[in-house]
Amino acid sequence: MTSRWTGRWPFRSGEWRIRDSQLFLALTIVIGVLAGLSAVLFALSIDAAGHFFFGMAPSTARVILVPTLVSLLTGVLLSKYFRDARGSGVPQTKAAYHLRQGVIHPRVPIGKFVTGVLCIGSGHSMGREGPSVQIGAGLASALGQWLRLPPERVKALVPVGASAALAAAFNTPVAAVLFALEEIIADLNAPLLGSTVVASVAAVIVERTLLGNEPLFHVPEYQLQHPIELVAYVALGIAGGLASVAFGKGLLGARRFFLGLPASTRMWQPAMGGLAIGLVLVMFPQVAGVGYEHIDQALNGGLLLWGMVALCVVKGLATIVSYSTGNAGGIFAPSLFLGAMVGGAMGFVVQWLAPMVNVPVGEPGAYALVGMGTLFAGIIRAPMTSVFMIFEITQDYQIFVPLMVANLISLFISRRYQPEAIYEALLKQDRVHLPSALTRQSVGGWRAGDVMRTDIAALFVDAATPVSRALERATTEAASSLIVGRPEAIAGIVAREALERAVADGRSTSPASTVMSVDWAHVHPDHGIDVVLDRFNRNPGGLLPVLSRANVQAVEGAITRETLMQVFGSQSARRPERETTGAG
Amino acid sequence: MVDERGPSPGPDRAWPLGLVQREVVLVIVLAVVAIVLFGMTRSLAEWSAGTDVAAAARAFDEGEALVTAGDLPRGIAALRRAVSRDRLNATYVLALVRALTAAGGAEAAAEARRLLLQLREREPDRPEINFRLARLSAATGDVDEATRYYNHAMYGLAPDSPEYDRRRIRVELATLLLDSGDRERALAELFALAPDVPDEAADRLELGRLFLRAGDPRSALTQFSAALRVEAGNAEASAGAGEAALALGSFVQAERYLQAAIRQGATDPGVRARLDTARLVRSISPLSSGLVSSERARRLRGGLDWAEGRLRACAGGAAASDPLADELARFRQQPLATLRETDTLIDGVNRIASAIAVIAGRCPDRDPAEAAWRAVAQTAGAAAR
Repeated sequence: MTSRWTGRWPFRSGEWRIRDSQLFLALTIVIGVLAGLSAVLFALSIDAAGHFFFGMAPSTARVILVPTLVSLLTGVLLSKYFRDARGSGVPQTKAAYHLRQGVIHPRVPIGKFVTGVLCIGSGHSMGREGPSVQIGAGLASALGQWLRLPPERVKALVPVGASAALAAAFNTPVAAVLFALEEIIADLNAPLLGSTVVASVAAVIVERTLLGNEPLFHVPEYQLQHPIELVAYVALGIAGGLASVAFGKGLLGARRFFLGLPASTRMWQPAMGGLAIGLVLVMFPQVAGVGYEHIDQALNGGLLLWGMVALCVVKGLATIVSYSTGNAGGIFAPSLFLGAMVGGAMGFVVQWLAPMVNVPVGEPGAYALVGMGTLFAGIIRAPMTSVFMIFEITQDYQIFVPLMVANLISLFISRRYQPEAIYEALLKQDRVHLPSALTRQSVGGWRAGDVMRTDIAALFVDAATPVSRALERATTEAASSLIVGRPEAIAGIVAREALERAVADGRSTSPASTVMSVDWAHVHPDHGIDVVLDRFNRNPGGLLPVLSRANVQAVEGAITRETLMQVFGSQSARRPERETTGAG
Repeated sequence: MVDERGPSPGPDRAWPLGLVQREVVLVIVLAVVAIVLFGMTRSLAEWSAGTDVAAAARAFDEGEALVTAGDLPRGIAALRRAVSRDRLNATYVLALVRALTAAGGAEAAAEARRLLLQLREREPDRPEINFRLARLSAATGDVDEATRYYNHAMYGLAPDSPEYDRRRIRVELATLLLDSGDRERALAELFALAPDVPDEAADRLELGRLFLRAGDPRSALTQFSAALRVEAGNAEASAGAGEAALALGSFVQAERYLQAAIRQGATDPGVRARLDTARLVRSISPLSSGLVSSERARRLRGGLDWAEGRLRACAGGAAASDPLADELARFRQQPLATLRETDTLIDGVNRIASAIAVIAGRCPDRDPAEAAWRAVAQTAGAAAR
């Protein structure tokens, strides 16, 4: 760095960096404290809302009406004012980090707080950790924007706020840091480790000062009783993996169904979910809210086999209903709940079988503990977070080996039968495509955004445009293909050849949509040129739309044969210089 | 340092002077806001905790009243609410545990156990927690774990309730060990218990019965005698002393105690049966004190005749060729001088006892003489030792 004297500041320029880092450190601590406070407030508010809504001994009518009526209100809030506050919050936070430079509107954390309190407090089977992550990340982003920090700094604050909030929400600072790196940034080697650690520690100090040092779960000392017992944990890993797949597919399928309903029903869907949850709560009040108390029961041998099996099934279904109908709440705690029940039930089976092979085995609680990590690894796909989270809960290394074995098997099975991680899949349902790890890691070189043409208005034809008119447009524009739809909502691609064939077949007046191809490839602006070239030939007529990652129906540009020829045919074409963004 | 490899403004991207100053001020403002918010959140947390404690107290009162009135399901529900609002309150948790235990059932036991284990993390030496855990473990048949908890209950803090005094806990532990067949450990507990037993007839009686069950009739007789010293007309104590004396081979003493028990109004049919046995033993035993040697030999021959006859009668059609009966007959035919010898007497009594074991397997109907000869055989065993 060259020395530079500004003439206005009595320090040499070398000291600017120090001031910058110190400022960022101070801001990190403040954000850690604020995110911790937000998580504590969120938890307290949920408890208060639950007590307010249900009182001490609610009647059956109240149990049914509360989630229904409250969801009616949250349905309006989520549809009209806080659209980004639906669901967990983790996918939205990932999208904000990867696609919007960490910019989260200040309205989002406020909306998430209000709707999260209402939804979870009114008995929806959802977790508070995902919303806490979004609230913390949103708070950090809003502060960064308010302080007018550079974009990369605003982006860097998102995982800082997320990890701090999660650390306070779950009282597991190390797991929170790993979650931010593993899930939000999706890179365990990310350079934000220091900031996330500082913020998480600050948040946990705040949380423990306010709520005390009482652990979230009281877990007896468990350990592997005999090396042969690992076989049972392998079986638990398999069961956990299959349960993860079932839950993930059920959740995504149900959400796809509700998203497929007319848009006019969107506002009322949370109330439909609320009614269903109310009816479930009459029979199974245990599935309401986060369910930590019942996880604790499973960990301490307070539930029996059939109770656990029933709770596992009902909790899974209730969470799917609550989430897929668009309520605000996460799947973090439900994953742990399901894991504890699957593991505990497996523990009972193992205890039943153990005398036959004369091998000492652990208590069902030990299996419940490992089961928690197993389903978390299978559903959330954050195996490191899972292992360290269980360690922080138990503070006991003895259970580490079975935990890692079961986690890895569950992760393997989950990936095998449901290749896409649940948060990415949920984002895809919202038409958001996150960049893959490969895309994120690609450094320098041409990208789709560099070679696409953006003057593409003339390439669009409406879906109802007659084939003959569309052919005229293609001829006029000398285009081998046209895009059917509007710039903000692409419907398909139609090749000139297809239009010509349709005219020859006497279908000149048919709408263009009848001859368009619906199975077409696309790229995003950050895709490397290798991906562009690979996908280019898959589309008819040599036209590759470049779509926004934040909304995969929005067309940002197009790559045609001509543009590629221009770029690569020009001797003067120079590879753009690009550096990795340290913040991800 | 924070953000070691993170983005930092290069020389041409350094934040302008004015912006840095503004940000420093804003961070300070934010820190102040955070401190204020912290205070507010703390107040809110305290208020929330206070509300929970008050609600828990109401639910506890309601639950206790319902449990006392016999409405266990609603009482348990109310106590659960109290515990969910105030998890650290041992009084609430123990009240819920008591109610769950009273309700019974595997689910309730599992819940009670979980609550107690959590409570034990905070108060590992509280007698009631360990005592109730011991009972739960005993109910599931885990004697070792139950013993551990009983010991914790006995050697933990000073008892917090008369219900949990160390003596009562030890009695329960000894009973559990006897139920599980561990007589040695049970005896150890009973010997530890004996010096602490108050001089009350009921307590002595209880201990005497436990000693009898543990196979120590001498200690049992000591306890029953002590009970009789406190309460001379106690029929149960007399019956117990008679049973212990019978087991010790003190048939005269047994007869005296058992007769006294019947006089004092003992209703147990076993007392009468034991008295009959004692009398029969006195009339048939070749080992009774004060007999001349010819009488001992005569009684032994009588016993051998009886056993041979029983064996053949019980063998039915195969009576003529019963080897054990034949052996008894040969033994009987020994000269009188040989039969008078102590070793031969004891050997003969033991042969009769062996024959009774075979008879028990062959004949469904019992002869009172069988019990008598068994008692004689016990005496013979003691004499041989």
